[in-house]
Amino acid sequence: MKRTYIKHYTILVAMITLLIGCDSWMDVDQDPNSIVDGPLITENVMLIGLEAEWAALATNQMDTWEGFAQWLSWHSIEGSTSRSMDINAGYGNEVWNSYSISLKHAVELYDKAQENGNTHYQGVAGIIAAFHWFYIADVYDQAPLEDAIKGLDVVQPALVSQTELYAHANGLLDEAIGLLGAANQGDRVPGTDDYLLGGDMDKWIRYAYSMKARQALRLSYAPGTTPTAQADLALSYLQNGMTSNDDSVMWRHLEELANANPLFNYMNRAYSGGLGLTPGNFLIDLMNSYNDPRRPIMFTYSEEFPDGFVGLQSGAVVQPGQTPSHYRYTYISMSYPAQIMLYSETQFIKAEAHALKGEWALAEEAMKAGARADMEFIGVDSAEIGTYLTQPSLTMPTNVEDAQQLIIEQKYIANVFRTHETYFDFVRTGYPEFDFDYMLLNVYNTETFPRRFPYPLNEVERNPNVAAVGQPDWFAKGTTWDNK
Amino acid sequence: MKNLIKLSKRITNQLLLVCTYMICFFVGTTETNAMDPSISRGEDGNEMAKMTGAERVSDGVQFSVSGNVVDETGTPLPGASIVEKGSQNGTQTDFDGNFTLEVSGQNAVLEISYMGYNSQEVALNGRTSISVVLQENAQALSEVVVTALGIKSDKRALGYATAQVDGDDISGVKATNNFVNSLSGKVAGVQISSTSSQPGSGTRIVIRGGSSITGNNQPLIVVNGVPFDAANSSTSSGLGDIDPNSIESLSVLKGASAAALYGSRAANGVLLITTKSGEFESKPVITFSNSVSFDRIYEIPLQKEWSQGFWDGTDWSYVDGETSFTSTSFGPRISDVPGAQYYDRWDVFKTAFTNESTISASGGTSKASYFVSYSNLMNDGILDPLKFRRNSINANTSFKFTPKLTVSSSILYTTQKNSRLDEDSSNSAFMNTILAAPNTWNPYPLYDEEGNLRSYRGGSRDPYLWLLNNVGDNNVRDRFNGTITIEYEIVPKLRFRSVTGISASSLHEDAHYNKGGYASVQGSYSTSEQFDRNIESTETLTYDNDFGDFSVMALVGHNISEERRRQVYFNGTGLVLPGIYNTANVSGYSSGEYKRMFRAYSYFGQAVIGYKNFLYYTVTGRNDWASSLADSFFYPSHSLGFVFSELLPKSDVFNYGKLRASYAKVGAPADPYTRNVVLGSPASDGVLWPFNGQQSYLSTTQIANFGLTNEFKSEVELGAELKFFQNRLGIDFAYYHNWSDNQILGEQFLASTGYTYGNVNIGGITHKGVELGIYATPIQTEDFEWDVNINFSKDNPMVDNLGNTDEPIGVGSYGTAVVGQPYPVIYGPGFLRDDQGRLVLSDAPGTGYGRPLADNSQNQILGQTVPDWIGSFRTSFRYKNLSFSALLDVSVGGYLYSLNDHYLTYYGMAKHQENRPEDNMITFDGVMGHVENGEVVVTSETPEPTRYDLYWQTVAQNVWEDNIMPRDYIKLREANLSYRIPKDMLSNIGLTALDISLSGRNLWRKFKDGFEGADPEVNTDGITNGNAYLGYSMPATKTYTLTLTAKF
Repeated sequence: MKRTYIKHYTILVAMITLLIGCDSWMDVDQDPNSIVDGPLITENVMLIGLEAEWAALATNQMDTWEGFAQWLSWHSIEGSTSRSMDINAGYGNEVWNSYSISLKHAVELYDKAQENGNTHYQGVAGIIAAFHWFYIADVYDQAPLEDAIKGLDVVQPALVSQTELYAHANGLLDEAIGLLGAANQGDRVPGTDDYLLGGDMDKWIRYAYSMKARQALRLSYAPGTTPTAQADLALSYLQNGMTSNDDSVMWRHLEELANANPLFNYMNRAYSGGLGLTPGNFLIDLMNSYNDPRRPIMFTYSEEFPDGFVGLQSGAVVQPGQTPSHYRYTYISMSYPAQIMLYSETQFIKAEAHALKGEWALAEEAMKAGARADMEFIGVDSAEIGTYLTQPSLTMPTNVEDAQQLIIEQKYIANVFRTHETYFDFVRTGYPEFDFDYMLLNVYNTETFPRRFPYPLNEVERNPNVAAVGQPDWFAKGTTWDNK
Repeated sequence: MKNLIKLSKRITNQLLLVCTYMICFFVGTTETNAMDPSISRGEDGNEMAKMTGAERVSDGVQFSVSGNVVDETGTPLPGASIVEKGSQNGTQTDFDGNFTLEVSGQNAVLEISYMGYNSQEVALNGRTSISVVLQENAQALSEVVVTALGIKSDKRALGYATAQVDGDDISGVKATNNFVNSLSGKVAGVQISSTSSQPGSGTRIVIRGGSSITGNNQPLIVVNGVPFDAANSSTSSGLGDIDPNSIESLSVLKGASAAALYGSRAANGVLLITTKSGEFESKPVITFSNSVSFDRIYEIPLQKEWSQGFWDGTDWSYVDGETSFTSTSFGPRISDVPGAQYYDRWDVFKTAFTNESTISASGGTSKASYFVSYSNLMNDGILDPLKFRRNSINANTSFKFTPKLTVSSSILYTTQKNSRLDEDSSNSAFMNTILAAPNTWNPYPLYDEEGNLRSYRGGSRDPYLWLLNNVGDNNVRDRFNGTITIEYEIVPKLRFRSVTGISASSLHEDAHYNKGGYASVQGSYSTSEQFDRNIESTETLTYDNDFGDFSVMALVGHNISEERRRQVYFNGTGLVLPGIYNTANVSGYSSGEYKRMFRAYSYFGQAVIGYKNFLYYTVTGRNDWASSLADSFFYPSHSLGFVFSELLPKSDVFNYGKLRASYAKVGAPADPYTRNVVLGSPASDGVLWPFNGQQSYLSTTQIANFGLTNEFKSEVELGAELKFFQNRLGIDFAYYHNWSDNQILGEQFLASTGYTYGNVNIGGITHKGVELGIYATPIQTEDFEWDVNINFSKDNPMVDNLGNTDEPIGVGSYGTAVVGQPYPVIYGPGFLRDDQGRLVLSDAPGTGYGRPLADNSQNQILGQTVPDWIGSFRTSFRYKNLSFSALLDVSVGGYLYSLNDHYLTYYGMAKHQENRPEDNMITFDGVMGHVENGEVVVTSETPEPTRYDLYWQTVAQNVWEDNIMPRDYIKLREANLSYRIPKDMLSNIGLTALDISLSGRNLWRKFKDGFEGADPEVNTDGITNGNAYLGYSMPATKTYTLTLTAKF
């Protein structure tokens, strides 16, 4: 009888013990494989990833919308293009989404570096953030600033004006120039983790000034200012801007598939009777008109004219024996860099600024410096550069419109599959004078391409602050500075 | 309602407390007295053993009698009452119908009774062991069903709906995917849909519409008392680990009350599977069965009239795909092009062949029983690369160590091997490239004279013939499942039961893509290994007794479980040598590992109180603790069964009537690690981490939530069971209303908050539905019998709220939860309409003139994805040894989004584009207009013509509305003709039974006009909740099977 009692009480005690023991037994809800924020996640762990994300965003040429590269005549596809021409509110959303990706990470790195007193990291993060704020302002006009990236604290951020976004970005650049010009306050400075500029703070400063110049000229026709005032600003910034191709900001992809430029994937597709990305007819015609020595480096010869270059109207069917030129594998290779800003661009900015001020000789000198820098960058023989630059068609016209057109066409040629500046230049100035009917079969709109980006649909639907601004007609007018 | 729930909680708590006290009382006091005999018996066990074997013992000495109570079919009757006549001395049979009783003498008379059966008196006449067969009482019509935790209950006592399917109904007509496909149409309220016609694919099972908005809506599957990790995805399924030939029976616990004892795992219902076991004291039976099946495809409709080409501005222009290329088939009529001819793409498909063999042995002695089976399935699919192999072993044994102690074990080992092709919209997906290929392009030869891969278009899509030999997926799945069940009768009426199971499974997956294709010139190879181990144990104490007019069954129990997973994956890019698929043969790779651990424990209890065989009240409660949550949660249920026909005069017309009512609250658990804040790799296209020897981790776009709780579902269920004409006609009706709240939603945040999603407890969904089952036996003679079964169910799911902002939430596969709408709906871009609902056609000059405009201002509700109702009609005839049955499956209502249509219309290959205007101009029924300041402005009532090809290639590509299709179907799901060779013909060849059957699956089908595609039942993404995505599924098949079953 007693034995039974003991047995049952043993079971009872065992069960109670089990219950008490459950607390630690149950405490297993931490993924042992996950990486959590902590002392090991230092600024250098963040910076290289942030730079990679930033480079990917800044050079997203093929996905911004399906036809982006086709509207710019950088690229043409065989067969119908009509789908690439229909641009709905889903396109270009990656810029807005940077709020939760690269822009957020720039802000997080900025905050962490500030907390740790690592002022050089703080400055670099500020410069990267500034790029994003400008980009957002340029394509959306009004967008969240103080309310942004606040998580559950602000689920429907309010918008601020383009002017405020610009002021914030310029403020970040000014602060960065100050921080990077002084000694680092903390114990950690960017080194190899700064894959873009190798931890060279002077280069970052020159880039910050160059970005200020780029954005100053962007406002050349903005309400409340004048082209010459903006030109003066740009020129003053460029006094401290980039000084050589060494200063160019770009992610150097590697000659291996896993780290190849995403453009290289497109080289493996057949677009026009053969393999590879295919240049558009407008681009090749323009380069042919200057007898551009960059062509044999960039493109293959056409099938029809074995010593010439032929572009393709996007959407056309390639007829037998008429396979057009393609980008060369040696040019858009796996290691083709993702280019955020090039030294040559600063020279074209300088050229346009001088032109806006009527300083024709200085404009021509700067424009030719830009073209030379680009040709040297892609490896054109110096004799051919000399020949190219002496041709009479590169003489600077003495009126603003013609000068601007010439400079921006040269800038366009030097910007193929590089930055988004050609897109912004066209919206801002109307140059190059793209002939969309000629360039694109079944073109959606013969006058223009989208002059700004649509707000993502979910923002329009769920954020009353965005809904109050309303979804703009993105073909009708660009953002505030689109005012020429 | 809240007060009602609170009240019910309080009542439940108190009742459970009472139950616990009752059991403690018996364990502590009564039981110790009652245990004395058992102890004494243990002491003189030797003597007892002698006595059991003795034929006769002397009068006047107490002795022990043991026995077994079964029904006419040999099924054990648990809980049958054995009373020595003229005394209070008595006992009840255990789960297997066995009993032992001390009686006063060798000539004692036992009264044996069981609800729903005619009572019997048995005089012992000195026997120490008796076997009793009880005859069913047609008036009472009792039915034993398996309920939660494997408890066998009398169906009349239940206050909720249950359904049971026999193993023969599952394995009778072969379905190569897994046994669940065979359930289709057999249980009202259960929606089964296949995810692919490729063998080895998973199956989507949803009971009463499911409970969760974005979570898993698949029911809990319990095999032999232990939850079974179904690992059910579209490309591979653990459901296939269960050999359909080994299934004895399957119970479906549809509602919350039925499943309440499973607490936080019960929200989506439960499938309880019992595998076959041997019977004690039965002769060995060896069964051999072999079946061969043939599958033929149903062709997917495409236009067959028009050639490859394009509209050149004035006419259809032909492109031959050899010297010039285009992706589109907007060329001239094939008959108008000299030299062009139609090539039949369906020639590449062949007849699939399946051979399935099963051998099993079962039998038993008085102390042990066994069932052992081995089954082998070999399938070669409709395309050369498609293969499926399955080998499965089941061994179920049971040992009676003492009359009070039974230990059973069941072991399952299965291995599945599957070779598949991807079904998606990628440029290397077989169905993508075969459907889009022009009619006039000859796919042969694969390579041109210079050795280049031929393509009708400017590359970037792989020729489908090339894919067959160069692209594919393999998976290998191994599972070991072992369960041990210990049943011990502590004292009469008080039983202990422990069920412990362990499941270990591994899944290997690899995918290869050879070098030299168009979609990815470099090729790739990826592979992953996953190991899962789940352990689970449930202990229960059950007390059963009658007190006058009251019967009481009380149960308390405990459950503990652990789930572990380890996974490593390797994604390699760039094959070094072609055709070698090995981790060493890639030029770059990324890899990673994943671990997962989940633990939970719970306490639960149940009390069933019966009054005079007609009124039954059941209360259950369960409290769950889970490692993924900070808090614990309590789940109560109450149910009432009222057999009102007991109160009516006996009638030959109406013989049984019962009303049911129940309320329960159950839950669905949060996944592990949802409270973790983790960093991820940078989102950088073209950079693989670690890069250049440096690693980077950055915050992700997910917001962490530390206060997450379980999802809850409450349900009220009412029902009736009516039986007429001596059980020849029966009706089972159920109405349910359930509402789930606290949904764990991956809420989509606006990117401008810095995050795009996070798990939060918001949102609710309501289901109201009816289920009706009717069975009838219109003709029943000795030689001829005709049975009819009809199932009907209708579920109305409604989204009540989705958190503070009530934002629509995507639930996968083109389904979206939208407040105030059925769950889910297709919610996406539609056409622009004016206030009278007329299409607005663009009035802007240019190629878009006259073309319908998209409504860019908002998404539109484009249709609900769930059917309005589903039903089935089954009829079976038996004439002597010949029987025939047929099952029609019907689904009415609901829509899906066809990605096939989206792309095929772009290419000009859709069936509905066969009838195209000769001049390429089409006039839409609408008004001319545009949008100004957000308002539609109509500028002309007269619609203008616009280009036909461009319509498909522009706005139709952006507007989902154009690709919405009805998903109604009616299918001849099963047809079966079988013949049982008469026994006298078999005796010479040593067989006891020989059956031959010829069966077919999906032999006939009909869809609603407007549907074009493989099968509206298939959701290409698998088991997602949206379930509205048709994209590049393999063609559906019809199956013919010949089966031979022999018993020795």
